[in-house]
Amino acid sequence: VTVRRGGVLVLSLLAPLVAGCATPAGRPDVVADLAPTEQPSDRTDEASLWLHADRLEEQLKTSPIVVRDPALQRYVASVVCRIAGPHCPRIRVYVVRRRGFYAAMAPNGMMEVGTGLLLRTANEAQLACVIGHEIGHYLRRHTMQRWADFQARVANFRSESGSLAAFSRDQEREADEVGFDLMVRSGYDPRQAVRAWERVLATEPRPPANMAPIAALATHPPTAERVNALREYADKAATTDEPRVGREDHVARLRPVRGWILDDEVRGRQFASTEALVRLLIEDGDGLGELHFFDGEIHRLRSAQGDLTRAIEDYRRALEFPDAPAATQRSLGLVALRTGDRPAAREALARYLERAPQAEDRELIAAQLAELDGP
Amino acid sequence: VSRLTRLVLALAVAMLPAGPALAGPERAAGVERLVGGAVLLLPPRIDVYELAPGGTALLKAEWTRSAREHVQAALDRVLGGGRLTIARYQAPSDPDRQELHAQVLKVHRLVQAAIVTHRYTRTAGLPTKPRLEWSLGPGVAVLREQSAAPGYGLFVELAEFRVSRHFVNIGGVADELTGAASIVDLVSGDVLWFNHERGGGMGSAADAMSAVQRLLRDLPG
Repeated sequence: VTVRRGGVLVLSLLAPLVAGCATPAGRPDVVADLAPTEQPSDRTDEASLWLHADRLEEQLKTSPIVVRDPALQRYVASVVCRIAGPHCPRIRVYVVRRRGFYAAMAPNGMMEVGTGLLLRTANEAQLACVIGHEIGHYLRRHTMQRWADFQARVANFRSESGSLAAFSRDQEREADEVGFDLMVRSGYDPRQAVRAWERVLATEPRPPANMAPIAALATHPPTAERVNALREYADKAATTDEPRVGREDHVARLRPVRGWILDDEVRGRQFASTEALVRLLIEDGDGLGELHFFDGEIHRLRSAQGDLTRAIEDYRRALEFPDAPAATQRSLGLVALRTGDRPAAREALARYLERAPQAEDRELIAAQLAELDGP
Repeated sequence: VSRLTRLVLALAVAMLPAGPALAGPERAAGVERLVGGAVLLLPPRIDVYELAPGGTALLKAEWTRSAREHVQAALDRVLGGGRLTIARYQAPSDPDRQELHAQVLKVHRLVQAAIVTHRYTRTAGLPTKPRLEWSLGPGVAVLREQSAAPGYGLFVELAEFRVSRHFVNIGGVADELTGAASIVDLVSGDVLWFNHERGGGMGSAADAMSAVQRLLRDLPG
Protein backbone atom coordinates (compact mmCIF):
# COMPACT_ATOMS: atom_id res chain seq x y z
CA VAL A 1 0.00 0.00 0.00
CA THR A 2 1.42 3.34 -0.87
CA VAL A 3 0.28 6.69 0.37
CA ARG A 4 0.99 9.78 -1.66
CA ARG A 5 2.02 12.59 0.53
CA GLY A 6 3.20 15.91 -0.83
CA GLY A 7 5.14 14.27 -3.63
CA VAL A 8 6.90 11.87 -1.29
CA LEU A 9 5.99 8.23 -1.66
CA VAL A 10 5.63 6.67 1.71
CA LEU A 11 5.71 2.92 1.79
CA SER A 12 3.29 1.55 4.29
CA LEU A 13 4.11 -2.05 3.61
CA LEU A 14 4.13 -4.34 6.56
CA ALA A 15 6.75 -6.42 4.78
CA PRO A 16 9.49 -3.82 4.43
CA LEU A 17 11.78 -3.65 1.46
CA VAL A 18 15.06 -2.59 2.91
CA ALA A 19 18.22 -4.29 1.70
CA GLY A 20 21.50 -4.77 3.47
CA CYS A 21 23.76 -7.36 5.05
CA ALA A 22 22.56 -9.90 7.51
CA THR A 23 22.85 -9.92 11.25
CA PRO A 24 19.96 -11.88 12.68
CA ALA A 25 18.01 -9.86 15.20
CA GLY A 26 16.90 -13.00 17.00
CA ARG A 27 13.48 -14.10 18.17
CA PRO A 28 11.23 -11.60 19.86
CA ASP A 29 10.12 -12.04 23.42
CA VAL A 30 7.52 -14.70 23.91
CA VAL A 31 4.10 -13.25 23.13
CA ALA A 32 0.88 -14.54 24.67
CA ASP A 33 -1.75 -15.96 22.31
CA LEU A 34 -4.69 -13.75 21.45
CA ALA A 35 -7.66 -14.43 23.75
CA PRO A 36 -11.11 -15.03 22.20
CA THR A 37 -12.63 -11.68 23.21
CA GLU A 38 -9.45 -9.66 23.54
CA GLN A 39 -9.51 -6.11 22.18
CA PRO A 40 -6.16 -4.33 22.06
CA SER A 41 -6.07 -0.94 23.79
CA ASP A 42 -6.30 2.06 21.47
CA ARG A 43 -2.90 3.20 22.63
CA THR A 44 -1.08 0.18 21.23
CA ASP A 45 0.41 -0.37 17.80
CA GLU A 46 -1.62 -3.56 17.73
CA ALA A 47 -4.86 -1.54 17.73
CA SER A 48 -3.45 0.53 14.89
CA LEU A 49 -2.67 -2.60 12.88
CA TRP A 50 -6.24 -3.79 13.51
CA LEU A 51 -7.62 -0.45 12.34
CA HIS A 52 -5.48 -0.68 9.20
CA ALA A 53 -6.90 -4.15 8.60
CA ASP A 54 -10.43 -2.82 9.22
CA ARG A 55 -9.88 -0.39 6.35
CA LEU A 56 -8.69 -3.19 4.08
CA GLU A 57 -11.74 -5.21 5.09
CA GLU A 58 -14.09 -2.34 4.18
CA GLN A 59 -12.53 -2.37 0.73
CA LEU A 60 -12.67 -6.14 0.44
CA LYS A 61 -16.32 -6.38 1.51
CA THR A 62 -17.49 -4.44 -1.51
CA SER A 63 -14.88 -5.78 -3.90
CA PRO A 64 -15.88 -7.86 -6.92
CA ILE A 65 -13.25 -10.48 -6.00
CA VAL A 66 -15.45 -11.69 -3.12
CA VAL A 67 -17.43 -14.72 -4.28
CA ARG A 68 -21.07 -14.13 -3.46
CA ASP A 69 -22.19 -17.73 -3.17
CA PRO A 70 -24.06 -18.31 0.11
CA ALA A 71 -23.74 -22.12 0.04
CA LEU A 72 -19.98 -22.05 -0.52
CA GLN A 73 -19.59 -19.29 2.05
CA ARG A 74 -21.52 -21.31 4.65
CA TYR A 75 -19.38 -24.36 3.99
CA VAL A 76 -16.04 -22.56 4.37
CA ALA A 77 -17.30 -20.67 7.44
CA SER A 78 -18.38 -23.95 9.04
CA VAL A 79 -14.88 -25.38 8.65
CA VAL A 80 -13.41 -22.16 10.11
CA CYS A 81 -15.72 -22.44 13.13
CA ARG A 82 -14.88 -26.05 13.71
CA ILE A 83 -11.17 -25.22 13.75
CA ALA A 84 -11.34 -21.86 15.54
CA GLY A 85 -13.54 -23.01 18.43
CA PRO A 86 -14.01 -20.11 20.86
CA HIS A 87 -12.45 -17.69 18.35
CA CYS A 88 -15.10 -18.46 15.75
CA PRO A 89 -17.34 -15.42 16.37
CA ARG A 90 -14.39 -13.08 15.85
CA ILE A 91 -13.20 -14.52 12.54
CA ARG A 92 -14.79 -13.24 9.33
CA VAL A 93 -13.98 -15.40 6.35
CA TYR A 94 -14.28 -14.21 2.74
CA VAL A 95 -14.07 -16.57 -0.22
CA VAL A 96 -12.11 -14.61 -2.80
CA ARG A 97 -11.60 -15.21 -6.50
CA ARG A 98 -7.85 -15.85 -6.61
CA ARG A 99 -5.81 -18.28 -8.68
CA GLY A 100 -3.24 -20.54 -7.13
CA PHE A 101 -2.79 -21.58 -3.54
CA TYR A 102 -3.92 -18.50 -1.63
CA ALA A 103 -5.23 -17.85 1.84
CA ALA A 104 -4.54 -14.91 4.14
CA MET A 105 -5.26 -13.75 7.64
CA ALA A 106 -5.34 -10.20 8.99
CA PRO A 107 -4.72 -9.37 12.67
CA ASN A 108 -8.31 -8.10 13.13
CA GLY A 109 -9.82 -11.49 12.28
CA MET A 110 -10.42 -11.01 8.55
CA MET A 111 -9.59 -14.21 6.70
CA GLU A 112 -9.41 -14.73 2.96
CA VAL A 113 -9.70 -18.15 1.34
CA GLY A 114 -8.93 -18.24 -2.37
CA THR A 115 -10.94 -20.20 -4.93
CA GLY A 116 -7.68 -21.69 -6.25
CA LEU A 117 -7.04 -23.10 -2.80
CA LEU A 118 -10.49 -24.69 -2.65
CA LEU A 119 -9.79 -26.31 -5.98
CA ARG A 120 -6.47 -27.77 -4.80
CA THR A 121 -7.77 -29.34 -1.58
CA ALA A 122 -9.23 -32.81 -2.00
CA ASN A 123 -11.32 -32.88 1.15
CA GLU A 124 -12.50 -30.94 4.17
CA ALA A 125 -9.54 -32.04 6.32
CA GLN A 126 -7.08 -30.58 3.81
CA LEU A 127 -8.99 -27.32 3.76
CA ALA A 128 -9.01 -27.40 7.56
CA CYS A 129 -5.23 -27.79 7.53
CA VAL A 130 -4.76 -24.52 5.60
CA ILE A 131 -7.40 -22.69 7.63
CA GLY A 132 -5.68 -23.92 10.80
CA HIS A 133 -2.41 -22.45 9.53
CA GLU A 134 -4.05 -19.06 8.96
CA ILE A 135 -5.66 -19.13 12.39
CA GLY A 136 -2.20 -19.94 13.74
CA HIS A 137 -0.97 -16.59 12.38
CA TYR A 138 -3.93 -14.89 14.03
CA LEU A 139 -3.62 -16.53 17.45
CA ARG A 140 0.13 -15.97 17.59
CA ARG A 141 -0.33 -12.28 16.63
CA HIS A 142 2.16 -12.63 13.79
CA THR A 143 1.43 -9.29 12.10
CA MET A 144 2.05 -7.52 15.40
CA GLN A 145 5.23 -9.45 16.02
CA ARG A 146 6.53 -8.75 12.55
CA TRP A 147 5.78 -5.05 12.94
CA ALA A 148 7.55 -4.91 16.31
CA ASP A 149 10.50 -6.85 14.90
CA PHE A 150 10.79 -4.44 11.98
CA GLN A 151 10.60 -1.37 14.20
CA ALA A 152 13.28 -2.81 16.49
CA ARG A 153 15.56 -3.48 13.53
CA VAL A 154 15.13 0.02 12.12
CA ALA A 155 15.87 1.55 15.50
CA ASN A 156 19.12 -0.39 15.52
CA PHE A 157 19.87 0.23 11.83
CA ARG A 158 19.53 -3.48 11.17
CA SER A 159 16.73 -3.81 8.62
CA GLU A 160 18.22 -6.37 6.33
CA SER A 161 15.84 -8.22 4.05
CA GLY A 162 17.62 -11.57 4.60
CA SER A 163 16.88 -11.85 8.27
CA LEU A 164 13.45 -10.23 7.88
CA ALA A 165 12.66 -13.10 5.55
CA ALA A 166 14.07 -15.56 8.07
CA PHE A 167 11.72 -14.09 10.69
CA SER A 168 8.83 -14.58 8.27
CA ARG A 169 9.84 -18.19 7.60
CA ASP A 170 9.94 -18.88 11.34
CA GLN A 171 6.40 -17.52 11.62
CA GLU A 172 5.26 -19.77 8.78
CA ARG A 173 6.74 -22.81 10.54
CA GLU A 174 5.05 -21.78 13.77
CA ALA A 175 1.70 -21.33 11.97
CA ASP A 176 2.10 -24.78 10.40
CA GLU A 177 2.60 -26.25 13.86
CA VAL A 178 -0.27 -24.38 15.52
CA GLY A 179 -2.53 -25.11 12.55
CA PHE A 180 -1.71 -28.80 12.68
CA ASP A 181 -2.57 -28.97 16.39
CA LEU A 182 -5.87 -27.16 15.84
CA MET A 183 -6.77 -29.45 12.99
CA VAL A 184 -6.06 -32.63 14.92
CA ARG A 185 -7.80 -31.36 18.04
CA SER A 186 -10.87 -30.62 15.92
CA GLY A 187 -10.99 -34.29 14.95
CA TYR A 188 -9.55 -34.11 11.44
CA ASP A 189 -7.29 -36.79 9.98
CA PRO A 190 -3.66 -35.63 10.57
CA ARG A 191 -2.40 -37.45 7.48
CA GLN A 192 -4.45 -35.06 5.34
CA ALA A 193 -2.10 -32.21 6.35
CA VAL A 194 0.72 -34.07 4.63
CA ARG A 195 -1.50 -34.81 1.60
CA ALA A 196 -2.54 -31.17 1.33
CA TRP A 197 1.04 -29.97 1.10
CA GLU A 198 2.03 -32.80 -1.23
CA ARG A 199 -0.66 -31.54 -3.58
CA VAL A 200 0.73 -28.03 -3.31
CA LEU A 201 4.19 -29.37 -4.11
CA ALA A 202 2.86 -31.23 -7.15
CA THR A 203 1.06 -28.19 -8.56
CA GLU A 204 3.45 -25.36 -7.68
CA PRO A 205 4.54 -23.25 -10.62
CA ARG A 206 8.21 -24.00 -11.29
CA PRO A 207 10.32 -20.94 -12.02
CA PRO A 208 12.70 -21.27 -14.98
CA ALA A 209 16.18 -22.53 -14.04
CA ASN A 210 17.78 -19.11 -14.47
CA MET A 211 15.19 -17.51 -12.18
CA ALA A 212 15.53 -19.83 -9.21
CA PRO A 213 14.32 -18.14 -6.00
CA ILE A 214 16.94 -16.98 -3.52
CA ALA A 215 16.45 -19.14 -0.44
CA ALA A 216 17.65 -16.43 1.94
CA LEU A 217 14.99 -14.01 0.70
CA ALA A 218 12.05 -16.43 0.66
CA THR A 219 9.21 -15.44 2.99
CA HIS A 220 7.97 -19.02 3.24
CA PRO A 221 9.96 -22.22 3.88
CA PRO A 222 10.35 -24.54 0.88
CA THR A 223 7.23 -26.66 0.45
CA ALA A 224 9.21 -29.91 0.56
CA GLU A 225 10.53 -28.95 4.00
CA ARG A 226 7.00 -28.22 5.19
CA VAL A 227 5.76 -31.59 3.92
CA ASN A 228 8.52 -33.34 5.87
CA ALA A 229 7.83 -31.41 9.08
CA LEU A 230 4.11 -32.15 8.83
CA ARG A 231 4.83 -35.82 8.17
CA GLU A 232 6.78 -35.92 11.43
CA TYR A 233 3.89 -34.28 13.30
CA ALA A 234 1.41 -36.66 11.69
CA ASP A 235 3.45 -39.71 12.66
CA LYS A 236 3.47 -38.57 16.29
CA ALA A 237 -0.11 -37.37 16.44
CA ALA A 238 -2.55 -39.38 18.51
CA THR A 239 -5.80 -39.52 16.60
CA THR A 240 -9.34 -40.37 17.47
CA ASP A 241 -10.69 -43.68 16.25
CA GLU A 242 -12.33 -42.27 13.19
CA PRO A 243 -10.68 -39.02 12.21
CA ARG A 244 -12.70 -36.82 9.90
CA VAL A 245 -11.72 -36.55 6.23
CA GLY A 246 -14.94 -35.14 4.77
CA ARG A 247 -14.41 -35.98 1.14
CA GLU A 248 -18.01 -36.39 -0.14
CA ASP A 249 -19.16 -33.14 1.40
CA HIS A 250 -16.21 -31.19 0.09
CA VAL A 251 -16.62 -32.50 -3.44
CA ALA A 252 -20.37 -31.88 -3.41
CA ARG A 253 -19.95 -28.27 -2.24
CA LEU A 254 -17.32 -27.50 -4.83
CA ARG A 255 -18.92 -29.27 -7.77
CA PRO A 256 -21.29 -26.40 -8.75
CA VAL A 257 -18.47 -23.82 -8.83
CA ARG A 258 -15.53 -25.93 -9.99
CA GLY A 259 -16.03 -25.13 -13.67
CA TRP A 260 -15.54 -21.39 -13.42
CA ILE A 261 -12.72 -21.76 -10.90
CA LEU A 262 -10.91 -24.06 -13.34
CA ASP A 263 -11.61 -21.58 -16.10
CA ASP A 264 -9.93 -18.84 -14.00
CA GLU A 265 -6.90 -21.08 -13.48
CA VAL A 266 -6.56 -21.95 -17.17
CA ARG A 267 -6.77 -18.27 -18.12
CA GLY A 268 -3.89 -17.53 -15.74
CA ARG A 269 -1.72 -19.21 -18.42
CA GLN A 270 0.42 -21.04 -15.86
CA PHE A 271 -0.07 -24.06 -18.10
CA ALA A 272 2.42 -26.48 -16.52
CA SER A 273 1.08 -26.09 -13.01
CA THR A 274 -2.58 -26.01 -14.12
CA GLU A 275 -1.97 -29.18 -16.12
CA ALA A 276 -0.49 -30.84 -13.03
CA LEU A 277 -3.55 -29.72 -11.06
CA VAL A 278 -6.01 -31.10 -13.62
CA ARG A 279 -4.08 -34.40 -13.60
CA LEU A 280 -4.45 -34.57 -9.81
CA LEU A 281 -8.17 -33.91 -10.08
CA ILE A 282 -8.52 -36.56 -12.77
CA GLU A 283 -6.84 -39.03 -10.40
CA ASP A 284 -9.39 -38.01 -7.74
CA GLY A 285 -11.97 -39.06 -10.33
CA ASP A 286 -14.89 -36.64 -9.84
CA GLY A 287 -16.60 -35.05 -12.83
CA LEU A 288 -14.24 -36.38 -15.50
CA GLY A 289 -16.04 -34.85 -18.47
CA GLU A 290 -15.39 -31.37 -17.15
CA LEU A 291 -11.79 -32.19 -16.23
CA HIS A 292 -10.85 -33.67 -19.62
CA PHE A 293 -12.43 -30.61 -21.23
CA PHE A 294 -10.15 -28.30 -19.23
CA ASP A 295 -7.15 -30.51 -19.97
CA GLY A 296 -8.03 -29.90 -23.62
CA GLU A 297 -8.37 -26.16 -23.01
CA ILE A 298 -4.85 -26.04 -21.54
CA HIS A 299 -3.46 -27.73 -24.64
CA ARG A 300 -5.55 -25.65 -27.05
CA LEU A 301 -4.51 -22.36 -25.45
CA ARG A 302 -0.84 -23.30 -25.08
CA SER A 303 -0.64 -24.62 -28.67
CA ALA A 304 2.91 -25.91 -28.29
CA GLN A 305 4.21 -28.77 -30.45
CA GLY A 306 1.68 -31.61 -30.44
CA ASP A 307 -0.77 -29.74 -28.19
CA LEU A 308 -3.58 -29.44 -30.75
CA THR A 309 -3.58 -33.20 -31.35
CA ARG A 310 -3.65 -33.77 -27.60
CA ALA A 311 -6.45 -31.25 -27.23
CA ILE A 312 -8.60 -33.17 -29.71
CA GLU A 313 -7.95 -36.38 -27.77
CA ASP A 314 -8.87 -34.63 -24.50
CA TYR A 315 -12.14 -33.29 -25.91
CA ARG A 316 -13.07 -36.68 -27.36
CA ARG A 317 -12.41 -38.28 -23.99
CA ALA A 318 -14.45 -35.58 -22.25
CA LEU A 319 -17.41 -36.32 -24.54
CA GLU A 320 -17.47 -39.91 -23.29
CA PHE A 321 -18.78 -38.55 -19.98
CA PRO A 322 -22.23 -37.06 -19.46
CA ASP A 323 -20.87 -33.97 -17.66
CA ALA A 324 -18.77 -32.70 -20.57
CA PRO A 325 -19.65 -28.99 -20.93
CA ALA A 326 -21.34 -27.82 -24.13
CA ALA A 327 -18.23 -25.76 -24.81
CA THR A 328 -16.36 -29.04 -25.46
CA GLN A 329 -17.95 -29.20 -28.91
CA ARG A 330 -17.10 -25.57 -29.60
CA SER A 331 -13.46 -26.03 -28.62
CA LEU A 332 -13.29 -29.25 -30.65
CA GLY A 333 -14.62 -27.31 -33.63
CA LEU A 334 -12.17 -24.46 -33.16
CA VAL A 335 -9.20 -26.83 -32.98
CA ALA A 336 -10.45 -28.68 -36.07
CA LEU A 337 -10.61 -25.35 -37.90
CA ARG A 338 -7.01 -24.66 -36.99
CA THR A 339 -5.84 -28.06 -38.16
CA GLY A 340 -7.79 -27.62 -41.43
CA ASP A 341 -10.29 -30.43 -40.81
CA ARG A 342 -13.38 -28.63 -42.14
CA PRO A 343 -15.88 -31.53 -41.91
CA ALA A 344 -14.97 -32.16 -38.26
CA ALA A 345 -15.19 -28.44 -37.49
CA ARG A 346 -18.63 -28.20 -39.11
CA GLU A 347 -19.93 -31.20 -37.18
CA ALA A 348 -18.61 -30.05 -33.80
CA LEU A 349 -19.78 -26.45 -34.12
CA ALA A 350 -23.25 -27.58 -35.23
CA ARG A 351 -23.44 -29.87 -32.20
CA TYR A 352 -22.42 -26.99 -29.98
CA LEU A 353 -25.32 -24.88 -31.23
CA GLU A 354 -27.67 -27.83 -30.76
CA ARG A 355 -26.56 -28.26 -27.16
CA ALA A 356 -26.38 -24.57 -26.31
CA PRO A 357 -28.90 -22.77 -28.52
CA GLN A 358 -28.91 -19.75 -26.16
CA ALA A 359 -25.11 -19.43 -25.96
CA GLU A 360 -23.79 -15.87 -25.93
CA ASP A 361 -21.57 -16.51 -28.92
CA ARG A 362 -24.24 -18.32 -30.97
CA GLU A 363 -24.26 -15.72 -33.75
CA LEU A 364 -20.51 -15.79 -34.07
CA ILE A 365 -20.51 -19.58 -34.31
CA ALA A 366 -23.46 -19.54 -36.74
CA ALA A 367 -21.52 -17.15 -38.97
CA GLN A 368 -18.52 -19.44 -38.79
CA LEU A 369 -20.74 -22.37 -39.79
CA ALA A 370 -22.23 -20.45 -42.72
CA GLU A 371 -18.71 -19.72 -43.93
CA LEU A 372 -17.85 -23.43 -43.67
CA ASP A 373 -20.95 -24.35 -45.66
CA GLY A 374 -20.18 -21.74 -48.30
CA PRO A 375 -18.11 -22.17 -51.44
CA VAL B 1 12.99 6.73 -27.95
CA SER B 2 16.42 7.38 -26.53
CA ARG B 3 16.95 8.32 -22.93
CA LEU B 4 18.06 11.82 -23.93
CA THR B 5 14.94 12.44 -26.02
CA ARG B 6 12.81 11.28 -23.12
CA LEU B 7 14.61 13.63 -20.76
CA VAL B 8 14.17 16.57 -23.16
CA LEU B 9 10.49 15.73 -23.57
CA ALA B 10 10.00 15.50 -19.83
CA LEU B 11 11.66 18.88 -19.33
CA ALA B 12 9.58 20.41 -22.11
CA VAL B 13 6.38 19.12 -20.53
CA ALA B 14 7.45 20.44 -17.13
CA MET B 15 8.07 23.88 -18.60
CA LEU B 16 4.76 24.10 -20.48
CA PRO B 17 2.51 26.90 -19.29
CA ALA B 18 0.94 25.23 -16.31
CA GLY B 19 -2.76 24.45 -16.35
CA PRO B 20 -5.12 25.76 -13.74
CA ALA B 21 -3.64 25.25 -10.30
CA LEU B 22 -6.21 26.21 -7.77
CA ALA B 23 -5.94 27.07 -4.17
CA GLY B 24 -9.17 26.96 -2.26
CA PRO B 25 -12.77 26.15 -3.05
CA GLU B 26 -14.32 26.11 -6.50
CA ARG B 27 -17.87 25.87 -7.85
CA ALA B 28 -19.14 24.27 -11.01
CA ALA B 29 -20.57 26.63 -13.64
CA GLY B 30 -23.82 28.28 -12.61
CA VAL B 31 -23.90 27.00 -9.03
CA GLU B 32 -25.02 29.78 -6.70
CA ARG B 33 -27.52 28.31 -4.27
CA LEU B 34 -28.50 24.81 -3.26
CA VAL B 35 -32.26 24.85 -3.71
CA GLY B 36 -32.94 21.16 -4.28
CA GLY B 37 -33.35 20.01 -0.68
CA ALA B 38 -31.31 18.95 2.33
CA VAL B 39 -27.60 18.19 2.29
CA LEU B 40 -26.73 14.67 3.35
CA LEU B 41 -23.49 14.58 5.35
CA LEU B 42 -21.80 11.30 4.41
CA PRO B 43 -19.67 9.64 7.13
CA PRO B 44 -16.45 11.69 7.09
CA ARG B 45 -13.27 9.74 6.49
CA ILE B 46 -10.72 10.79 9.08
CA ASP B 47 -7.26 9.19 9.25
CA VAL B 48 -4.20 9.99 11.32
CA TYR B 49 -1.02 8.21 10.34
CA GLU B 50 2.31 8.06 12.06
CA LEU B 51 5.26 8.24 9.71
CA ALA B 52 7.47 5.72 11.39
CA PRO B 53 11.12 4.87 10.88
CA GLY B 54 11.74 2.65 7.90
CA GLY B 55 9.34 4.62 5.73
CA THR B 56 6.17 3.02 7.04
CA ALA B 57 2.94 4.90 7.70
CA LEU B 58 0.87 3.37 10.48
CA LEU B 59 -2.79 4.34 10.79
CA LYS B 60 -2.86 5.19 14.51
CA ALA B 61 -5.93 3.97 16.37
CA GLU B 62 -5.80 6.39 19.30
CA TRP B 63 -5.04 9.51 17.24
CA THR B 64 -7.59 8.59 14.61
CA ARG B 65 -10.33 8.09 17.18
CA SER B 66 -9.69 11.40 18.89
CA ALA B 67 -9.37 13.25 15.54
CA ARG B 68 -12.71 11.74 14.51
CA GLU B 69 -14.36 13.09 17.66
CA HIS B 70 -12.84 16.56 17.17
CA VAL B 71 -13.84 16.72 13.51
CA GLN B 72 -17.36 15.48 14.18
CA ALA B 73 -17.85 18.16 16.83
CA ALA B 74 -16.42 20.81 14.49
CA LEU B 75 -18.68 19.69 11.64
CA ASP B 76 -21.72 19.89 13.93
CA ARG B 77 -20.83 23.47 14.86
CA VAL B 78 -19.80 24.68 11.40
CA LEU B 79 -22.78 23.15 9.62
CA GLY B 80 -25.29 23.51 12.46
CA GLY B 81 -25.63 27.27 12.41
CA GLY B 82 -25.46 27.65 8.65
CA ARG B 83 -27.98 28.21 5.92
CA LEU B 84 -27.90 24.55 4.89
CA THR B 85 -30.33 21.92 6.09
CA ILE B 86 -28.09 19.02 7.04
CA ALA B 87 -29.38 15.44 7.01
CA ARG B 88 -27.55 12.73 8.95
CA TYR B 89 -26.46 9.66 7.07
CA GLN B 90 -27.97 6.38 8.18
CA ALA B 91 -26.58 3.16 6.76
CA PRO B 92 -29.35 1.00 5.25
CA SER B 93 -30.04 -2.29 7.01
CA ASP B 94 -30.34 -4.28 3.78
CA PRO B 95 -26.90 -5.64 2.78
CA ASP B 96 -27.55 -5.10 -0.95
CA ARG B 97 -28.35 -1.42 -0.35
CA GLN B 98 -25.31 -1.12 1.89
CA GLU B 99 -23.21 -2.45 -0.95
CA LEU B 100 -24.65 0.12 -3.38
CA HIS B 101 -23.92 2.92 -0.94
CA ALA B 102 -20.37 1.67 -0.48
CA GLN B 103 -19.88 1.68 -4.24
CA VAL B 104 -20.93 5.35 -4.39
CA LEU B 105 -18.36 6.16 -1.70
CA LYS B 106 -15.71 4.28 -3.70
CA VAL B 107 -16.53 6.14 -6.91
CA HIS B 108 -16.48 9.39 -5.01
CA ARG B 109 -12.98 8.68 -3.69
CA LEU B 110 -11.74 8.10 -7.24
CA VAL B 111 -13.36 11.26 -8.60
CA GLN B 112 -12.06 13.24 -5.65
CA ALA B 113 -8.51 12.00 -6.29
CA ALA B 114 -8.86 12.94 -9.97
CA ILE B 115 -10.05 16.45 -9.11
CA VAL B 116 -7.17 16.95 -6.67
CA THR B 117 -4.72 15.79 -9.33
CA HIS B 118 -6.09 17.76 -12.24
CA ARG B 119 -7.23 20.97 -10.58
CA TYR B 120 -4.89 21.39 -7.67
CA THR B 121 -1.60 20.24 -9.20
CA ARG B 122 0.20 22.76 -11.39
CA THR B 123 1.61 20.34 -13.93
CA ALA B 124 -1.47 18.15 -14.33
CA GLY B 125 -4.15 20.62 -15.40
CA LEU B 126 -6.45 19.50 -18.20
CA PRO B 127 -6.50 22.12 -21.00
CA THR B 128 -10.02 21.15 -22.10
CA LYS B 129 -11.48 21.43 -18.58
CA PRO B 130 -11.16 25.09 -17.64
CA ARG B 131 -13.82 24.75 -14.92
CA LEU B 132 -14.86 22.31 -12.23
CA GLU B 133 -16.70 19.79 -14.40
CA TRP B 134 -16.87 16.34 -12.85
CA SER B 135 -19.62 13.86 -12.16
CA LEU B 136 -20.14 10.63 -10.26
CA GLY B 137 -23.05 9.74 -12.54
CA PRO B 138 -26.75 9.27 -11.73
CA GLY B 139 -25.99 6.10 -9.72
CA VAL B 140 -25.56 8.39 -6.69
CA ALA B 141 -29.36 8.57 -6.50
CA VAL B 142 -29.28 5.45 -4.28
CA LEU B 143 -28.31 7.85 -1.48
CA ARG B 144 -31.63 9.67 -1.83
CA GLU B 145 -33.57 6.81 -0.28
CA GLN B 146 -32.75 8.29 3.15
CA SER B 147 -35.79 9.45 5.09
CA ALA B 148 -35.20 13.13 4.28
CA ALA B 149 -34.76 12.44 0.51
CA PRO B 150 -31.77 14.79 0.45
CA GLY B 151 -30.89 16.69 -2.71
CA TYR B 152 -27.14 16.93 -2.16
CA GLY B 153 -24.33 14.95 -0.60
CA LEU B 154 -21.46 16.45 1.37
CA PHE B 155 -18.30 14.33 1.43
CA VAL B 156 -15.48 15.20 3.83
CA GLU B 157 -12.07 13.58 4.03
CA LEU B 158 -9.11 14.57 6.20
CA ALA B 159 -5.81 12.74 6.55
CA GLU B 160 -3.01 13.80 8.80
CA PHE B 161 0.54 12.53 8.83
CA ARG B 162 2.55 12.99 11.99
CA VAL B 163 6.25 12.31 11.97
CA SER B 164 7.31 9.84 14.62
CA ARG B 165 9.74 11.21 17.15
CA HIS B 166 11.94 8.22 16.31
CA PHE B 167 12.15 9.39 12.71
CA VAL B 168 15.65 10.28 11.56
CA ASN B 169 14.58 13.39 9.72
CA ILE B 170 16.89 14.07 6.82
CA GLY B 171 14.55 15.18 4.07
CA GLY B 172 12.72 17.82 6.09
CA VAL B 173 9.59 15.71 6.37
CA ALA B 174 7.06 17.56 8.51
CA ASP B 175 3.60 16.93 9.94
CA GLU B 176 0.95 17.55 7.36
CA LEU B 177 -2.81 17.58 6.98
CA THR B 178 -4.52 17.18 3.63
CA GLY B 179 -8.26 17.49 3.22
CA ALA B 180 -10.89 17.40 0.53
CA ALA B 181 -14.60 18.14 0.58
CA SER B 182 -17.22 18.07 -2.12
CA ILE B 183 -20.90 18.75 -2.63
CA VAL B 184 -22.52 16.40 -5.09
CA ASP B 185 -25.95 16.69 -6.72
CA LEU B 186 -27.66 13.44 -5.68
CA VAL B 187 -29.78 13.30 -8.84
CA SER B 188 -27.23 13.93 -11.60
CA GLY B 189 -24.11 12.99 -9.65
CA ASP B 190 -22.42 16.25 -10.71
CA VAL B 191 -19.81 17.71 -8.38
CA LEU B 192 -21.15 21.20 -7.66
CA TRP B 193 -18.54 22.43 -5.22
CA PHE B 194 -15.09 21.21 -4.28
CA ASN B 195 -12.26 22.17 -2.01
CA HIS B 196 -8.82 20.78 -1.29
CA GLU B 197 -6.61 22.14 1.47
CA ARG B 198 -3.22 21.40 2.94
CA GLY B 199 -1.75 22.31 6.30
CA GLY B 200 -2.98 22.42 9.87
CA GLY B 201 -3.79 19.48 12.09
CA MET B 202 -6.45 17.61 14.04
CA GLY B 203 -4.53 17.14 17.26
CA SER B 204 -6.81 19.36 19.35
CA ALA B 205 -10.44 20.48 19.18
CA ALA B 206 -9.30 23.99 18.18
CA ASP B 207 -7.00 22.74 15.40
CA ALA B 208 -9.73 20.48 14.04
CA MET B 209 -12.17 23.37 14.16
CA SER B 210 -9.95 25.63 12.08
CA ALA B 211 -9.18 22.80 9.63
CA VAL B 212 -12.91 22.17 9.13
CA GLN B 213 -13.70 25.88 8.82
CA ARG B 214 -11.00 26.30 6.20
CA LEU B 215 -12.10 23.22 4.26
CA LEU B 216 -15.78 24.19 4.24
CA ARG B 217 -15.40 27.92 3.63
CA ASP B 218 -17.42 29.41 0.82
CA LEU B 219 -19.97 26.57 0.67
CA PRO B 220 -22.84 27.50 -1.64
CA GLY B 221 -25.82 28.61 0.45
